[in-house]
Amino acid sequence: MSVSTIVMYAGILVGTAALYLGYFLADLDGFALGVLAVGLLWLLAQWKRVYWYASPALLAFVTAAAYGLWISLPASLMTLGAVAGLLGWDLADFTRRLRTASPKDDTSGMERRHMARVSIVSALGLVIAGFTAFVRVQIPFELALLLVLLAAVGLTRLVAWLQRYGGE
Amino acid sequence: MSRTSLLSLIVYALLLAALFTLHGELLTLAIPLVVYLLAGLLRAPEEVKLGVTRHLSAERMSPNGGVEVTVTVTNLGRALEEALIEDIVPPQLTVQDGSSRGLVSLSRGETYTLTYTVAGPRGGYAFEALRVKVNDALALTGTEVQFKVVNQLFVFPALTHLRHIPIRPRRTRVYAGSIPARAGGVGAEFFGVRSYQPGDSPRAINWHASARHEELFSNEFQQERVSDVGIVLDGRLRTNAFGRGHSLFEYSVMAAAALADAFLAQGNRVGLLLYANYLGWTFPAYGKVQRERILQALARAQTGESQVFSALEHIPTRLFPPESQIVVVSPLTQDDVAPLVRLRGLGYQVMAISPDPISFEMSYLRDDPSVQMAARVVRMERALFLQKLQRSGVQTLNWNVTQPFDQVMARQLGRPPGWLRAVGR
Repeated sequence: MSVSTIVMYAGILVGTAALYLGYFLADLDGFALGVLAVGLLWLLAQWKRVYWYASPALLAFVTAAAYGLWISLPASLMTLGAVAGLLGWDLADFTRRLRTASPKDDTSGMERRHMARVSIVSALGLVIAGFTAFVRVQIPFELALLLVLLAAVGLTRLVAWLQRYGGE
Repeated sequence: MSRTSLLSLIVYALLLAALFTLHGELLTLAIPLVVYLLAGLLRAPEEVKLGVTRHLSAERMSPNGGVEVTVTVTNLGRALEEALIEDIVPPQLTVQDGSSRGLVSLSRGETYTLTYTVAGPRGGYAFEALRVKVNDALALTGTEVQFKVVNQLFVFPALTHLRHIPIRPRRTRVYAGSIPARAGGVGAEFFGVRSYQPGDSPRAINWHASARHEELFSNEFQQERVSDVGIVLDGRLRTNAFGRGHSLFEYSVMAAAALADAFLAQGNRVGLLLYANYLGWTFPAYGKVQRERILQALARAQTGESQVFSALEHIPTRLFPPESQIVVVSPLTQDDVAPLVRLRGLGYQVMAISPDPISFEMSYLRDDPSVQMAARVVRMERALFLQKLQRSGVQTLNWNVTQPFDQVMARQLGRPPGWLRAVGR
């Protein structure tokens, strides 16, 4: 089994465990079992090479994490659950792409580079998310609305610009 | 939904959720996703510039052979994080060894070589393009490009080498060959005696005739020349296709290839007519180039059904020089007798090579008394119409396809060995 496959399974397990623990500690057993079911099904889907399942599973993980944050469950567990889900989702697609390689291709080199890249991205995401968790600023609703709209528009334009000129 | 769309959707949903619930912590959840999204998009692939070549170890092969395909891809543009290179192999060919695709990272100027072996059934195949799918490092954006690189591969029918095929068309061409020309001159077989003419070799003088008539006579030998041979390959579906997907056509093609090879080796001018749902005409010519042309036409030959060409009566006789040799390769049905007899009547020397459909069908049908009875009946019918053809002067060869074609040809059309001729058998 390749390193990326092991890390993918680990990511799904860690994500499931973090979210399960968050809900379980808050005595929300129904939600905890739901998260556990989604996580186990994801593991099963990856084992059986049912690739389409990864995207709904990521959506479910992020939704569970967001709901958990809304009902004031531990932010560390919820963020960890979402980031681990993101890692699992990325590696699920990467392992699928690796299967298209011919036996002679340097898959281990590609795997090494991808693992390094995705680890840095995940760690950076976690660090920034962790940092922002400590920042508390009270702003009026109108300003919040304006900021969100600005963020949405800005993000859209940035994504569009990067899609067009990102490689240059 | 693309990966970028999914992530963007989640981020926007989190932004909206944070706004409507007035819960800022939801924004922190969006941050890792935004970082991931931007990290992928920052290194999105730009225009893909590749130099692509494909080399086939052979452009012609036999059905059991394999051809090694080598594809070389050189990155002439910026580094590519992840490129899935896939050579588009014609669907009828199978990759026997190696892989027709590869996943690579290509830095600027780097070359990647893809090597695999293909094999397949008889046919003419075109390798037309190479598909390259390039992704950013996180596969959020991708570009698919096709590079046109054309190569051709012919899988020729299995070729059996035939020895001398005895044909005697009425008209021959002027060049020396191996077909008796019904005219006196230089040759090997005795043709007749004529008055001695100055310049005749003393070895040609027939001393017995000269002594009897007190005048010198010379022996004349039969000239041997080349001839025009037209091979008609019957590709009609109704004569070639049988139940459960079985077909005699491959045998007919094999026979046509062997005949064309043998006639061309004898120095004849050979043309090929594929008679299927269309007329595929390979113009008559001599030599190795013509052999190649005919084999290519045979590699591409397919069966077909057409109302116009459902019977052999539409064989265009204008294509064949008058009084030349026509060889029809066909399983034959009763309806085909009249058109062949008509060809004979027009002065053509006709030879019918007929792969036997009855023994072919019996080879895969169950051994049942009713099947046996039916086979006996159709075998008698077939024997009758083949006999009718022979009586009309059509040289007929009924080929049981379970036996090798060259052996059947040698047995039925070849010269008997000398000792057998000596004992008068």
